[in-house]
Amino acid sequence: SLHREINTLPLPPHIKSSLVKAGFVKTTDLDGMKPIALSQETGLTDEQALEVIKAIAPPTNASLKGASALELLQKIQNPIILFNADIDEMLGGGIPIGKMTEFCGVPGIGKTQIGMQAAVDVSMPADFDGADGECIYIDTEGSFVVERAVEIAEGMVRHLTAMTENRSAEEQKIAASITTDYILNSIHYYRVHDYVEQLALGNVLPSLLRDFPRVRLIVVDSVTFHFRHDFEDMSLRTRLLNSFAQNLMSIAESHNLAVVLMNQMTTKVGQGESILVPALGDSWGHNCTNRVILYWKDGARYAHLYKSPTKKQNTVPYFITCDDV
Amino acid sequence: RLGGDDAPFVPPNIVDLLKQIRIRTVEQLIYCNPRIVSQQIGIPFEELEEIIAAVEQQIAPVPSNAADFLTNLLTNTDITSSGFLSLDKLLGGGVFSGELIELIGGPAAGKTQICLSSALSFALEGKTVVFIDTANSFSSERLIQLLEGKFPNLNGTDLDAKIEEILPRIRCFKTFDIFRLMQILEHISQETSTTPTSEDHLFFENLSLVIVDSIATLLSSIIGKSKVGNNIGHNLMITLARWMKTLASERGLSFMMTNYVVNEGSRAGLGDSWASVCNVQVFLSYHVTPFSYRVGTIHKSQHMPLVPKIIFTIEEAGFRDCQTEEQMLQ
Repeated sequence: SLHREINTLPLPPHIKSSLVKAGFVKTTDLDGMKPIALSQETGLTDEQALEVIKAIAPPTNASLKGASALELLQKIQNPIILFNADIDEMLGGGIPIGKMTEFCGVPGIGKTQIGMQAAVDVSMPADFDGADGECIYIDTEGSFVVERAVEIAEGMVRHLTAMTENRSAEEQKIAASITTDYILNSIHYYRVHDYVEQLALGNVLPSLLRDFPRVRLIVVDSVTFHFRHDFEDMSLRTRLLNSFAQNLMSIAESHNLAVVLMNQMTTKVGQGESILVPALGDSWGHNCTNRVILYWKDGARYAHLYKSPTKKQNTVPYFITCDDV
Repeated sequence: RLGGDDAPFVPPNIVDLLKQIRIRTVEQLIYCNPRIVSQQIGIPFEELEEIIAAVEQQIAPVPSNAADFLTNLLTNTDITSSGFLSLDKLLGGGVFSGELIELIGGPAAGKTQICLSSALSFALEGKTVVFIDTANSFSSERLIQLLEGKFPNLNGTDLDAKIEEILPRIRCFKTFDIFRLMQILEHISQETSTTPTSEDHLFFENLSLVIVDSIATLLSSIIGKSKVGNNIGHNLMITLARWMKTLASERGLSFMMTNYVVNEGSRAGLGDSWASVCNVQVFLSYHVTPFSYRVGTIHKSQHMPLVPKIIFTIEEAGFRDCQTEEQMLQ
């Protein structure tokens, strides 16, 4: 009983107009049509007619199977631990796999530091509750400094050694295999220079993930930078950002990895006072599953969990040291 | 299309004659000029008029008697709780079957929480729920927290048994594009019809609620002012709306959808065409002073709300009404 106009099918416009001219209005009009008969009626080539038949074919039941809430519960994976007890606790154990987490803050608050920390932490072996994976780091601002990443990696190596001091030889051997080189080799770094490159990279991600199947984390630092200026058409910006986000979410879900996005802040002028809010507008706020706002107060840094389906709102202080966040 | 299986009947020889002068669809037949066309295809004018009248008779809708309509409504309407009594009052009793409810608000306003709470509430009554997740916001852990909130005295194995009984009634479909959403709705239509094809028809027999969280992120990437102007995005949105209304009315399903706000929180997203689709619109807003609370108001409803607005907080165990606290602090 549900019918659909030919116009709404994902087919090229010239094919659709041929169909409409031949009197096909709804998809049900095409029921039982063979490709040869269809090409005779419409003047389409055999390949085009075949494309049409495929577009209206019902999907196989296998691809439509949803998962029950119970099955999803059993599928929950260990989050990516940041080795900051307060922030990990606030997020429910760490950065969740399969979801998008957004960190917003003013310049200098530590967004890139958190991004680099996560990129290093993702290579922690499974024996120590780590994600045992690699990271794709997308840098849009040029703020990734390799020397700092080395510092954080060395910090993690020191942490591992201290952790396994009194443990079994087996565990000490595993810890020893995680060298600074190993950690840095598991970070795949991409630099984008404008929004077109950023969107293109988003589209190319599935093939990158085929080349690097161990990737468990994608960091975009920052998602905002190339979209803030030079966009006269705001609705175009919204559409591009939303489809970028949808793409990343789909990848997070299908490849079982975590996505971390950094966002900047912008000033909203209200009546009498102006406040800082996350950039990119009201419509962007809905794209991420979790949103953390980083801010200064009395000379100290705080992280505030603003949005999460599972954890309640919370604020924790954090510090940036030479070893870690 | 003329001559198609579900088109009104027209004698085949007439269909062929009409095709020769480029009249191929029912619409073209009805709007043609019968005098000119009858001459072009060589049949008497009266015969063509009779054929057109018969076609119109077949496609015109049949009126129903208002008394029958009322009886039908009173016997077949089902009202289910959303899991939060104050919200039920705002909705004029609860979630009504056959209705499309839209939850509108900014980030962290509580839209997903209301969806999860409603899903649990339906499941506790033995009904099944489809949760279409476009923003990776579905959370089984949160469902369990809410379940524990409803049964605080259950522990250990009893709680596990309850979880195993209730959670399978809620099924999550992840989708990130509109075509897949349409496939899911077609699947639901097929499985809830009188001749289901798959083995798990038991799930679909009891299906009462379909949640789409969020419909806005799915549609916003395809609608919008396009210079090309072929408006396929807009057509898709309208087709989707028509499908949901059809499923709601024919199968008695309730739909619950989340949308965001634009223009500093004053308007719902997705524009004016979408605004007329849902029967019920609830606006949610999030406030931080003097304490962290949320406000819900009704903007559109087919029932009389029992309260004008609700003020509540979201806690681990569920929702808590705090209207009196807010008044005291004012």
